[in-house]
Amino acid sequence: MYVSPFWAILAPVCGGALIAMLKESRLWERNALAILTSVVTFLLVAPALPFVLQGETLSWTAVRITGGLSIAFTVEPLGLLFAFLSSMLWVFAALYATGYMRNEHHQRRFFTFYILALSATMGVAFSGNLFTLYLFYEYLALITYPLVIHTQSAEAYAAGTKYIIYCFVSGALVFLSLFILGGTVECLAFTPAGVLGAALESHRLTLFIVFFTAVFGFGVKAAMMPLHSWLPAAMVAPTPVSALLHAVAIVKTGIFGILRVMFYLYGVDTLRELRVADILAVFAVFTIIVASVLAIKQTKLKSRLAYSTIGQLGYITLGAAMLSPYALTGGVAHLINHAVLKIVLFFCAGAIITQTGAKYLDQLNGISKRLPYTMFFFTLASSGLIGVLPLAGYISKLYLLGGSIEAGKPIFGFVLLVSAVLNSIYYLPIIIRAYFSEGPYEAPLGLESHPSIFFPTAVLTVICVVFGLFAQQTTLPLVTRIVSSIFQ
Amino acid sequence: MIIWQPQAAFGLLLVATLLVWLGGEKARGSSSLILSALAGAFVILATLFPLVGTGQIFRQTFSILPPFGLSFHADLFSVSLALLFLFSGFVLALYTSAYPLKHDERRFKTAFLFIMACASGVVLAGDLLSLFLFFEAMSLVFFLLIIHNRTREAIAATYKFIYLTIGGSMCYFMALATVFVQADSFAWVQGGFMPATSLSALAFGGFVIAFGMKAGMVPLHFWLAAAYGQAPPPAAVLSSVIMMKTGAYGMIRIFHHVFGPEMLSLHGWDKLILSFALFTIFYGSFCAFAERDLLRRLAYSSMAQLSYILFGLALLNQAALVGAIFHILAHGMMKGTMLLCAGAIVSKTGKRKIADLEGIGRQMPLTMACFSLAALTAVGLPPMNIFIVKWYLSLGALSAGQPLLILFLLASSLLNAAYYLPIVFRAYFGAESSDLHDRLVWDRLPWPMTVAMLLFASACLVFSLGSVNLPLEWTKRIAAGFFY
Repeated sequence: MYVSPFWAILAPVCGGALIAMLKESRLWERNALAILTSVVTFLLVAPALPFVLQGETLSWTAVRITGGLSIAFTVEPLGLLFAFLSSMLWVFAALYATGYMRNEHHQRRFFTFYILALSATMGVAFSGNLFTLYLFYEYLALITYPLVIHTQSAEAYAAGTKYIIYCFVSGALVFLSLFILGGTVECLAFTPAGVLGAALESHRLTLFIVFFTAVFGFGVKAAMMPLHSWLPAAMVAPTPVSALLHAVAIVKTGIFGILRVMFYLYGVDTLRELRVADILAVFAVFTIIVASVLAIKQTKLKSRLAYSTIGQLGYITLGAAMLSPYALTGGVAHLINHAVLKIVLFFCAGAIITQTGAKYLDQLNGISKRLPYTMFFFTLASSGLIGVLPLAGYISKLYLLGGSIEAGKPIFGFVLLVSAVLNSIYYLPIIIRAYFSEGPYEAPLGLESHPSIFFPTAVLTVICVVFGLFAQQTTLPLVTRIVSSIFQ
Repeated sequence: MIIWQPQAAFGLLLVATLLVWLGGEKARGSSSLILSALAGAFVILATLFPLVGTGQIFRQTFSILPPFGLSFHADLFSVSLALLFLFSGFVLALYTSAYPLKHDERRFKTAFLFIMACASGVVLAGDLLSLFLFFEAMSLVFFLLIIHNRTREAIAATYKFIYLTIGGSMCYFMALATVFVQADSFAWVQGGFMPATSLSALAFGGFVIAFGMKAGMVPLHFWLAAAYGQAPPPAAVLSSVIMMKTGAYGMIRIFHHVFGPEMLSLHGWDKLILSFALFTIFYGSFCAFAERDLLRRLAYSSMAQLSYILFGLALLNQAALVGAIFHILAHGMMKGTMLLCAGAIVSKTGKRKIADLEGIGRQMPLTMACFSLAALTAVGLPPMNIFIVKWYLSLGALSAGQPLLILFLLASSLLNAAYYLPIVFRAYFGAESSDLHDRLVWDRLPWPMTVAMLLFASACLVFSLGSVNLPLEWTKRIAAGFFY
């Protein structure tokens, strides 16, 4: 039997510790170690995929603390999807970070925490009950604080403080939910049909209230409006951090937590009974529209991408909140598709910053001359987010729209369409500016950016196309398995 | 039976597109590469013609592009249209090879060939999603041609076009999702496959918006004039002869192979489209009449003419459909000629305003001869092939029991005369402006441009002269296929 996923939590801890022991000047060893740790973690996670696709699951209780409280792990479709996705993107991001950070200070600190965050993410992905999830969730928040304040400017410290306050509020809400729920049912282990249905009769009001404390607790990390403002502030961090943590790992742990609470604790039937999902959907709609409008007003490239992330995360929440199989398929598929598309966009933004220093949108005039391929990748990934075929984003959008039809609420579908048009309003001008305006940039000599920046971006762009054209062979089987286990 | 031709033709065009791009800015052979690729694709598809001519339908599905795969579909209708597009594209590529684009030739030609590949893909696609793939790629890439001159106005026209395109795509997406959930299939079925539900109006509306926008149906038309006014003339020809037709093509498929005529007439949606088409015919004609810029006038006229196709389609009978489908050919040749002539005038003299064209018939007699022939075709004079269109549309209106519609067709012919013939009169008989020579000067166009104009102009005429009108026979068979 495969127990390797549990080692995936431990491997980055060892890797991080080794990096911490290396001297600041040992550049090559550190870089190699960081990449190696990510690759090893990925290789530990990946073999579980065929088993899970066949329908096998595995759980393991590591420590039994008292009564219902225990530290338990499980390998099942949703967790494995998240683990697989994060560890795969971590490999690319670690490679990218070695190129991006090569002239930065405090590299040892950076890479130590960058790799440790991987273990926290794996812990979140494989946690088998709410308590374990909460532990790793808090661990992730603490471990990423040094990454946010990396530049140590006043702005960075302010952003870091904001970040940590939001994280603690988020953690506190989850903790509160954990305690109240722990009082209503014996065991809070994640099961696809939900475990709280048994307590529905006796604790109806409690369950109703706790749904919101738990979902909004995780919703802080998922940047659900109006609890989003830490995310744009955290863009002060170096780009590898924004790309991996603030577009993929951290925000997606928030989404992951919401999915766990909704479908693996409450269960679809209980949610329908409580009629809470519609209220969540309204918040998601609000997030999608407001974030997209605010994105148009941003003048910094990375802030625009951050607001776009907030809006796109709303898609996933909305997909979950519609409580229809199609919509959930779209939502979970978007968890993957948004991750790869947005990481490409951030990688491009990072390449622009390292090569030209341009951070503001009006500095991007004619930049395609300096970074032709990078801007091409940017164009592809942003059209993927708009929903252009055959890039990854269209699959999730098709299923989400289908879900809105299936649930008999086409209005949610229209929200997604409006958001897609807003997406094009904030992405297209960047592209037109880059290609068709005159700017001060000259053609590059040789490769347009550092190889460890260029190639991860290129490969991930190819993956964006593959996840669209070949979704049936790559992403969709696992997503369908998750959805069919939830809607039995 | 497995067919390879559609994939091969599409693949050939795509590979050629890539080669044109890789060839670099100063590549000599790019024009001949484009021409041979288009000719090659034409020949490949032509081999399919004897097979589909017998009424057979071929499908091929590949397991990419979920949820139902990418599929190609070859029947008489799609193969004939693809051949027409490739022929028009060939003529246009010939014209473009000599047209002075001034800068970024590589980008222009790559985008041109890519659009050709996608347009063939649109007509050869076997289901709604595959069609959407090609349709959207074609539409989005067209912005590279509109923005070609990089002026402020060109960029404004580009934004207008691209936001409208994305809006249209999103409506299509919504419609697609509705079909996805409610019918669980995307592939064409004779007589339609969409079940009648409360949300099927949503699906129909989405498709109509997306295709209507491409075909310039009012009120989704406003990208057109701006785009024609700013894009280089070859791009305007491409749009008018090929891209707008894909909108009409999509509409025909939606009517007959997704929803089915029965469902449409049950809900009265055919009447809705009919009234939009009539309104567009008149709105477009009046705008064309009021317009002072030659290319923009042609844009409004294209809009009005395209609605003939929607008009014939919405009557939902065989005779009208013959008129509609034949108009795809007839209008392509007619408007193609006019736009090529307009492009020749713009490139040679830099004049775009109709008022400046006084006496141009002496300076460019050949160009204006072609233009006049096309103008007379547009009016619908008997030997030319738009007459056939109007004839069948009238027959269709009669058999639909709405003889009054014939009056609309006549009125539209008059309007056509009112906005085309003054250009011709002015060109030949107008007072000469001072910068023109007072003697006859031949056009002095590069030969490919002349040949392209002559090819399109003769195509306006040739099909209606012989005792056997081959395209009309095909059209009748295609239309019969929809109403068997």
